Amino acid sequence: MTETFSTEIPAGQPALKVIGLKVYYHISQGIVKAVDDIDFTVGCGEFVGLSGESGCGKTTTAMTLLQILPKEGVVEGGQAIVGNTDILTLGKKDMEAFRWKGISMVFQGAMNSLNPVHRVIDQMVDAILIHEDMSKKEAREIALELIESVGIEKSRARAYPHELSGGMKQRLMIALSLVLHPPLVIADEPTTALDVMIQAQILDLFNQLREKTSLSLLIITHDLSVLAETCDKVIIMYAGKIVEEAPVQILFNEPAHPYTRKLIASFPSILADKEIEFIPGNPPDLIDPPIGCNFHPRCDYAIDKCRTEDPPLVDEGGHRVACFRRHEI
Amino acid sequence: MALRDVLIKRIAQAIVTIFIVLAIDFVIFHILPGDPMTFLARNPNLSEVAQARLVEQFGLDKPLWQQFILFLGNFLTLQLGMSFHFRADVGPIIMEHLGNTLILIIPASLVAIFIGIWIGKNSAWRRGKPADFLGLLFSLITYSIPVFWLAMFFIMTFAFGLGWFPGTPGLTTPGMDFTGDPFGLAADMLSHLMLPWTVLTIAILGSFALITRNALLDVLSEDYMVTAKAKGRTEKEQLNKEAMPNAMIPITTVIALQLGFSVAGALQTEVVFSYPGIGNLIWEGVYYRDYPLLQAAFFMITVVVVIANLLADFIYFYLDPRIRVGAEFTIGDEKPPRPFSHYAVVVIAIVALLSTWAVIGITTVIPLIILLLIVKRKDIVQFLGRRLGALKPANLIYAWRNKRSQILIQFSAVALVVNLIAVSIIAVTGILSPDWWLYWGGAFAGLGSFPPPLLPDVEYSTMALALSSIAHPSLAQIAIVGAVIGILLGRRKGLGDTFGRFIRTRMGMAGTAIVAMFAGMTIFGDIVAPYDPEAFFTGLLYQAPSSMPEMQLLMVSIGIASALGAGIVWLILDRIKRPPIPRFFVTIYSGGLILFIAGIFGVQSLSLENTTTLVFSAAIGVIAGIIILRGLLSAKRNFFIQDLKSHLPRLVIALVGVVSIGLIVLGILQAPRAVPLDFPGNHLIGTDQLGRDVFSQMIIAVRITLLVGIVATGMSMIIGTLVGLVAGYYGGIIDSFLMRFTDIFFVIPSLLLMIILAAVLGPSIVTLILVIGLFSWSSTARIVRGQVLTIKERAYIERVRAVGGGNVYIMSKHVLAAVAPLVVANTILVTAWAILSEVVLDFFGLGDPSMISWGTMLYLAFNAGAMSNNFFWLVFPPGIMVVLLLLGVSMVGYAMDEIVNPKLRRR
Repeated sequence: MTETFSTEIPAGQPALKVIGLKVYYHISQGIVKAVDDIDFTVGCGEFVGLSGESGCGKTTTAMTLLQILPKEGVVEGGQAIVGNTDILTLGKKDMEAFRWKGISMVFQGAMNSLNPVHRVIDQMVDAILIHEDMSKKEAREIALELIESVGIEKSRARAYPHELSGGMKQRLMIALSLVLHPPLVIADEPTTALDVMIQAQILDLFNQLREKTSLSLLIITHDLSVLAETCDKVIIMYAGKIVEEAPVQILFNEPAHPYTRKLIASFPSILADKEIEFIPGNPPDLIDPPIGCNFHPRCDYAIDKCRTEDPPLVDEGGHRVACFRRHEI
Repeated sequence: MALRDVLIKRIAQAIVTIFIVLAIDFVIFHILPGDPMTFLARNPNLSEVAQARLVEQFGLDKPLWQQFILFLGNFLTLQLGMSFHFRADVGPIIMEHLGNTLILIIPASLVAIFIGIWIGKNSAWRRGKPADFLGLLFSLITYSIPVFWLAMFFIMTFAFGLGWFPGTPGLTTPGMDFTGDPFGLAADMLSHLMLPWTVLTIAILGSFALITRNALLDVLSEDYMVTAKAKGRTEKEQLNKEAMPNAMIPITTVIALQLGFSVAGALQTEVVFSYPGIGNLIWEGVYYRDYPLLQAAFFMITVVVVIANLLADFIYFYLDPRIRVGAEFTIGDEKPPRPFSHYAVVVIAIVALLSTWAVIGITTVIPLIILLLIVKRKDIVQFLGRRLGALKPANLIYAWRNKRSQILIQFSAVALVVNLIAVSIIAVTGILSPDWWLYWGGAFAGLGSFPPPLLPDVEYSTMALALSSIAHPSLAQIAIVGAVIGILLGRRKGLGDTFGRFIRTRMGMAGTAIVAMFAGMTIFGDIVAPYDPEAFFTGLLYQAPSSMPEMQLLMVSIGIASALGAGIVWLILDRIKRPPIPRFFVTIYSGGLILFIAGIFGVQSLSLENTTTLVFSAAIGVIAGIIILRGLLSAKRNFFIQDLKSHLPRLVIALVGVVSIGLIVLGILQAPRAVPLDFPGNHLIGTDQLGRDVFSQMIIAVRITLLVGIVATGMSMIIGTLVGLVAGYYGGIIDSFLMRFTDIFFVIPSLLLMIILAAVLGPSIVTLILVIGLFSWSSTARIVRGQVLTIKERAYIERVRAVGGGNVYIMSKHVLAAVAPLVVANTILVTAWAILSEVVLDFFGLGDPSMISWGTMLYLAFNAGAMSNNFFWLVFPPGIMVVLLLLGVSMVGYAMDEIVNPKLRRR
């Protein structure tokens, strides 16, 4: 297959580099600025968490990377670089070849993400055969190996999705995302809608993968405990923008942005006998976002400057924060 | 649920269906006035010996239940009785014709399924794009064409007109001998079959395309389709390898259920082509009122359809791994399937039998109603209390301050309830006359006179007479209208939004325009029709269409040309990105258009001195005025003078549009009257076999068609909604019983049942309404049930129950309200179906011959040999009208469905 891109990541380069990405939804009520000028990188072998309230643009970011946005979603600008290629400029044919090979994805609600009329193993074999030039038998073997490695017996491979439990389906979905060994896997809410025991299994699986493989992972979730458990680095988004990015220890111990603080404070803890806080108000209307900092209507520390100017995302030793008052509060 | 259980269940169901079909067959035969014995005796075609044999075979001198058992035995062993007309055993005749019908139907169905699925697939995949619009339009048009009319059209064009195919009827050219020449025979048969095949294929492929499109749209919104795309599948593979295998599952079931529809299409094709199939047999059976023949034909066709359905079920199970491979353990969010109980089938069979028997005597229902009243008296008192309580002064004052529309609704509700109570008292006690309710129903539907004549020699109490005035049908009509207006007013905003979204879809707009045209024809028919449509000899017999007077021809052609030109320029302007047209501009424009047309009709009414239409045009003018006023008010707020310049080209085009439409309307209105109306007169579309003006008939006929369509739809909607609501809400055994019953009505070719029932009951408009209304509700019931199932699980229903709302309260106040939008969209589609049925029944000569309708016009034209004599003006105009009306109605329905159907919402 001749391809105009390479999914080999040169040494020392990040697996994914997103620069100035803007994704707007053009709907009848106006233009929704779902993702508005964000930059981030996912290093090789790094596990990055992407978090924030519902509707802040997390899933849109993920869908943009695979170009599976609904037709209302338009990429208005920016780059997403994998290897040496800006994948947002790939043509239709190239994009089809790139998907799953360059970036694969574990979907929100794996319950319904497997096609009910095909056997699980066939779906995995299909994914391999679309991209790799190999015999069906070889593909089967790769798939079986992966199924075993996510902790499911080989004998269950011939099952149809309806014959499997939710946790098994989710693990198979992860196996499906790994069949082509892509440099980056995106996991969109991989543990939502699963019960706590299965959540633990899935997180354990991720941690095993981190130890055994060179996988890079972008985990999207609103569940901060999942991030604390698995990630190296966490990115917090609010209303289409990145408000804070930091290594996981720093983010949880010394959050700098008022929104991150609130987010962490609003998370219930079993052990600590703390008061649960919540963030007053609602996320802003993304059709007509507030002037200045997007968060200022809900921020306790807002000053006049926050109401007029958009705070830049300032990097201080790997800890990026978009707040004028990061050192004052 | 293992595969074996499902298969057993399906086979049991098929057996029950056949059993019920037999019961219906038996009952229909026994509704006939007079007992079968005297009926036989009156038939001059049968010898004494044959009659005696029949009496013995069917036990016609024995009690009813013994007759039924004998009947079952006879039919199950295919001893189908004796044809009155052919004077021979029905069995062999039917078998021979059935074979021919299968030759016609099987290839046509296969090709139609193939093409239909292809069209539907492409439509769904390109949803909202021009290809989708074209596919949908094509499907809707083929779906709207009455099959018999399409057949007539094809024969006139391709057989008689172009001479491509033989014009002789039947399967082979009569008088030719093909012994020893099998190839010649085959070629001759093929040349005779080509046209019927084509007609039938076109007639049924539309519905298959629509089914495929719907099923596929459902699948395309599923999560696994995103996975497929993300996996890097090409678009073609996404569609063919991931979506289609899933969509085929519902498609096979629905296509199987649609087989009845295909059969109905085949019957009509056969009649027009004089093809020696079972449809032609039925046509003759209806014509000669050969009841044994009809009875047997209905039975045999239904058996074939049931078996075909069973086969489709097996395919379905093969396609769906969820059934083929039984689940070993169930997943959290799926309920374990209900264990199959053999006992349920027995219960269903018994109750179904009883319910068909109930058709025989409505008398059995009355004691049931009384019993229900006694058992449920508390609920009834409570219900009445609530209705009356709404009218307490305090409540009224509150409503007046906060929600005025509620007052109208409450008063209408009380009036309706009081009226219905009075009606039921009179109906149950029979104090005025036993058939009183028939008159009531007729008058309520807008037919016949009221009150009925009082029985002679009976003293009536003042009480009874007073009751009769409370029970007047017009009170119920007014109350219903009042309630509807109240509900509309109360939800002005929501309805306005929905309407706004609806009218902005291409299909909604086109459909509304067409339907508005027919509504205008209904109201203003009297001033549009130049002649009395029922007057004989207004011209020569079979007078060909006269040419338009020059002046009016000029007007119409200029109008059409400039309208087309304006349309094209408009489209070009749309292409080069002009600023979008402001909403108020559209509002003012449409208001102006309506006002203009109302003005034309007003002037015409004045010149013809017709007060009714004058009042109507005034009312429409006032409504148009309000629309314009509202447009102007919002224009005042949003309009900037600099906008004017950029919109100027469009303003000019819009003006041209109004003027050209006005020219067309005016030209058509004046044309017939521009020359003297004296004999032989000017007939725009010629005259028929009695010298009646076809143009006037065509205009007036819309009334009967719409009346039957709407009343029958109302009936079927009430039945369908109730069945769906109760089945979905209560679930369990009630659900499975009601849904199996619905399935049976789905499987039986309902058009055939309607034809036979109407033939037995005799041609009249009430019969038409009754048969169409009684057999069109099954799709509604299914849709409502599906929706109720999802709604009743919602948290707010639990909340209402926790607060203490009873079942009836929850159903009527919450569940019904939630399914209402879907019911409305479905109503419109059922209306299209009812109108189509009406036209077909009319064509089979089952309409009221004294009333002008499109179907009857075509029936008379067909019998007058319009095809071979090339009286195209008798055939084309009514058919085009039917297609246009149906197209408009179904476009409105589809556009509505697109908006309100939760399954079709875009992600």
